[in-house]
Amino acid sequence: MIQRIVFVVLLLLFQQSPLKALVTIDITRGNLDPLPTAISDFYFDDSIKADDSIRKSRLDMKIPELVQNNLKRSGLFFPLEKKSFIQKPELAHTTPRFEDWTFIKAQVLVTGKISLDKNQRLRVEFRLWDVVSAKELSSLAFFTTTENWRRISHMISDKVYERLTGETGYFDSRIIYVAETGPKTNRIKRLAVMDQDGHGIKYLTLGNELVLTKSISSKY
Amino acid sequence: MQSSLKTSFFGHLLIIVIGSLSFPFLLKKVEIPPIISVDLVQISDRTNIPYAPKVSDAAKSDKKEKERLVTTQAPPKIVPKEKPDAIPFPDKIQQIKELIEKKQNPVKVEEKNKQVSEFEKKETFDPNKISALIDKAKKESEETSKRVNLEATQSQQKNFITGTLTLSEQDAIKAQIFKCWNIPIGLPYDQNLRVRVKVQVNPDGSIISSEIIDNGKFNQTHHKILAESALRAVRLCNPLKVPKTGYEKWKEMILNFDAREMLKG
Repeated sequence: MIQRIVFVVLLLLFQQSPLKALVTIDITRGNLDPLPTAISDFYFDDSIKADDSIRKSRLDMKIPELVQNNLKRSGLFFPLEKKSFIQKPELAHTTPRFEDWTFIKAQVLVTGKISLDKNQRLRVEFRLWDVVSAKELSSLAFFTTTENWRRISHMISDKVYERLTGETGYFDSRIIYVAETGPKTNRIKRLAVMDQDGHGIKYLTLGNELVLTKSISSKY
Repeated sequence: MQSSLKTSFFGHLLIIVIGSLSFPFLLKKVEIPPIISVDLVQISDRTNIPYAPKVSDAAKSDKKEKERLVTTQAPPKIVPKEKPDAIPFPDKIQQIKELIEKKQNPVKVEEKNKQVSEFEKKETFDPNKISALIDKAKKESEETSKRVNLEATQSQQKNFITGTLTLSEQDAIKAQIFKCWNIPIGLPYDQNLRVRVKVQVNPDGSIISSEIIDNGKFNQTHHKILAESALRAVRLCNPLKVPKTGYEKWKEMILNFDAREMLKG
């Protein structure tokens, strides 16, 4: 009798309901199309509204434009046309209406704010949003001087790139090269450094020494 | 004791013998369905589908006019639509037929002289057989519908028990998600790039919830990025195009996102 009961109990324990076996589908392929990305204009905080020089610099448009160019050049992102954006930068940065962004087929959104801190340093804050899942992926703030805005833009590009592809960004890197100028008979070769996008060229030598290779001491 | 055993034995034996001898006669004969002979016929011999090129309306009308001039063939008969529950009597049908003939064919062509192909002959309309035809059609449709129902329920039950989707159903869902999934290209392909997402679906295909099953690995940034892309894919595909039947099977699914194959190339 006890044996029977044990048997029945075991049977009940090991009995698997067929309903519990869930359907499993393997997804081994995806598309490698560039990610539709909306890079909204940044906006100036109240602290900057008094400062005319910064306002005239139009950094609120220049920084996102540079980020957009960087991401587009990587080939992995497809920046969407600004004209199609429905929401204003101020609102998008604080509480984005995700429906507005999914409506224009964006999958991720970059927003930002520019302000001045107590020490009159420029504070550039950006947020990366996953529009489809309706959540924030990352947010960072950088402090710098106004002249350094290109560097900040590259850093923002790096962070966005890293967060979405899983690979370390390369936008905030510089290229060292031998710049050649002048006629063939009187060629001037100088060691130079530029940003990866070709801007911010700096000559490290005057051109009176012979420069053959682009090796440089880490001191520079 | 012995005698009762014997009587019981013989009694049983008798019943068995009677049963084996007489019962087969009581059984009905198995009805063999009538053999239907099937002839294989070349379609091209029997049908002549007119070629209808797309032309402008003016050209069409022009052509029609020309055709009207050239054609000598009588226009096709118009068969009056009959309701199955109101079958007219033969004499009524005769009247209708006469009417139609008067309307359509002012010059009556002699039935014998008319050149008709064999195929057309078979198709000639006999109003007296309408009721018979309708009955037959009814029976046939009933039978087929019954069979289809039976087959459907059987296959449903089968799939219900095994809890799987058919290959084509799986492929249909796969194909949708392939399109939606933007693979993060920078992930290191030599690592475990697998994420399982549990999806709950409404009968109309809209997604109720989607969640990552193995959350434990989430501390790895790569895994996190992959998981986010998988969730984005599922949400982008909302609503899914799902099979019309068997909701129980696919109301909960596990999607196994594996990026290695794509990234290794």
